[in-house]
Amino acid sequence: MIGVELGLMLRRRRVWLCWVLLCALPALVAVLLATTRLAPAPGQGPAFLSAVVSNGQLFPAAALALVLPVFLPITVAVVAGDAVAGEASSGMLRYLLVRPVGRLRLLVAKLVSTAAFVLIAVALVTLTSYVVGVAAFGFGPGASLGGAGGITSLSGAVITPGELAVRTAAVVGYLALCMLALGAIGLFFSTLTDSPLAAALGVLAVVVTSASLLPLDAAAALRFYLPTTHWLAWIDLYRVPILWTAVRQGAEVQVSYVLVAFGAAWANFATKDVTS
Amino acid sequence: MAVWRDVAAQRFSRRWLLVAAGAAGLVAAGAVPWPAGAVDVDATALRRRILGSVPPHVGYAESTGRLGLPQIPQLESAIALFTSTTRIRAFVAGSDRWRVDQLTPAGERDTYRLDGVEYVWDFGGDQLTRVVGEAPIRLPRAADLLPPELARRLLRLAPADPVTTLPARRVAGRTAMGLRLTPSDPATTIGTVDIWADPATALPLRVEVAPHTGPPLLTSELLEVDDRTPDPSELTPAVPPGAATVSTSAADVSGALRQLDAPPPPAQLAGRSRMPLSGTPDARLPGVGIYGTGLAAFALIPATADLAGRVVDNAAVAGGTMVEVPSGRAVRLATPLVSVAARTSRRSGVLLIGTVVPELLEQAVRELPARRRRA
Repeated sequence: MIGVELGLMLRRRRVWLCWVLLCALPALVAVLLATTRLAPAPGQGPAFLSAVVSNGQLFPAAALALVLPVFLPITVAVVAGDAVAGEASSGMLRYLLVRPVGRLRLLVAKLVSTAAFVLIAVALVTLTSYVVGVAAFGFGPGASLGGAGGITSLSGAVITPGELAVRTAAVVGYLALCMLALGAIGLFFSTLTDSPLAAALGVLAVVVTSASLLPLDAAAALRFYLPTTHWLAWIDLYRVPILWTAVRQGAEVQVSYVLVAFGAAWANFATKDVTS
Repeated sequence: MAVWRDVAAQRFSRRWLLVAAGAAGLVAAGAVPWPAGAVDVDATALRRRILGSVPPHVGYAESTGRLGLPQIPQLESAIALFTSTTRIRAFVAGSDRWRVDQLTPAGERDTYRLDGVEYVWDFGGDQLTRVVGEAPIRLPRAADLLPPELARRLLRLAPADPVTTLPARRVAGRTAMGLRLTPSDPATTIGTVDIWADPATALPLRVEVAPHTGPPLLTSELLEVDDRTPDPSELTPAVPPGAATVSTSAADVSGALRQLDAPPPPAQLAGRSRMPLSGTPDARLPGVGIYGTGLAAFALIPATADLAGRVVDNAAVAGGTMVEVPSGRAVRLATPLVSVAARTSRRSGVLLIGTVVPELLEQAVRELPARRRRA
């Protein structure tokens, strides 16, 4: 079942379009920065963007910061919202459930498929932006000193190529988890409606609501539990030594969202009258 | 049919109950505090212990200020420390060997102190700055808000004010014993300073500063702490390839103030005497004065007419009260913890800021002579 769902996802053109667009936006920014050399001032613009012109290896981090607030959530909303509602809207869901397939098993397969989508999306953005970043901005000042491959951490110490690979892998995993939490919410919404668009808009409504509450002092008590609060915690992985506090808290919150949203999807879908 | 509906409804409710219970459990796991154990505390002894030592530690803290200060041009980053949440990481080996990082979403600003010399690493500027000398007063920085430093600073300012015991509470996964400092000077805006410290090391873990009425407006807490001595590599500033290294002197700030050609600060303002300032001889700050003692003190800082004028405008927009002065314009702004006053004339300006009631700053701004340039 999981293999079938993964195959189905990989055959969908909209999935590939999402990945291409996610990779294209950072590439466009890299081209613009490389041609104009007009990087944002330090402390302004997305994280790391002001520093990439001096070291292209920082560009994956800048690219992730670029796509994280809007583009990545939109693609996750589209794919996750389509998971069950898409089958219902095309009239396939009742035929799917006629087969000896448990509803829980179907939901698990859909969640795994969503997880694969977000993991591939974040990994593709990271890999393509590394290639584009190095091509556009080079390996940084360390190259001339025989230190090619290293980057300057936020704390000033140099991160070696090996450390950079490990830290970047951790960033990919963390962001994939953050997006999987959204995907699980999308899966839940997808069981509530037969309209993939409505489910996707529901996910985006969650993102917008969370982002709107985040800066409000009046919502301080809720801040820790908002899904978007911890999205930027991965930046702490580029400090020396790594600060795990926010990453750990963020991972706990995102896993909780996955569990609760998937549980809600299961609670709703298990006894739902499927007529589509 | 009816039986099937009953069964379905039962399964439906059971599943949802299970999910709801799980969600509630997850929220409670993060929200319900662990109970603090019982600790015998002598508040006076605890104050003495806090002031007596700087235990080595490595930790992560968050400081939240809600002081409602207006924007003051060129002081935005200092003001932000008291009007927003600041993430701080500390590596402290002793009073003269430490590193404190101010963590931002876009970078990091780290202050190192090694054997009397300070270094500042700024990721945004890709620059390490070596600071030579020591100015008598300086702008606040993240290191000042670290709970141990904030607690010691506030306790040092009011050595004779009474302290009482507070109930223990859980801080950074530990049971912390508490004390409350209540300033005795009625002129201060600070109503209480609450400090919770580790019973074993007397390391302050949480500080709350509250006005006379209302909740605390400045809270700083170590969320994680380890009682280890930092590794020397953690206390040594690194200069990455391509980064700039510059050296600056605390006297540079003095030079900037000297250009204002401000007259010497009066010996007394609003009934408060000017306090002697420390600092290295080359870093004297012309025109700057600190008035009052303890937690009821304010600073007089000369400024350009343009800067003071913008502060007057911003403070007026933020609800400040205009003050009648013989020449120029003046305003005073009261926030629950900090009062600000500014006066500007055609050629010069002055700022007053402190933890004193606004009436005191209004009196001070009236008493100031017209700050003409010296011949």
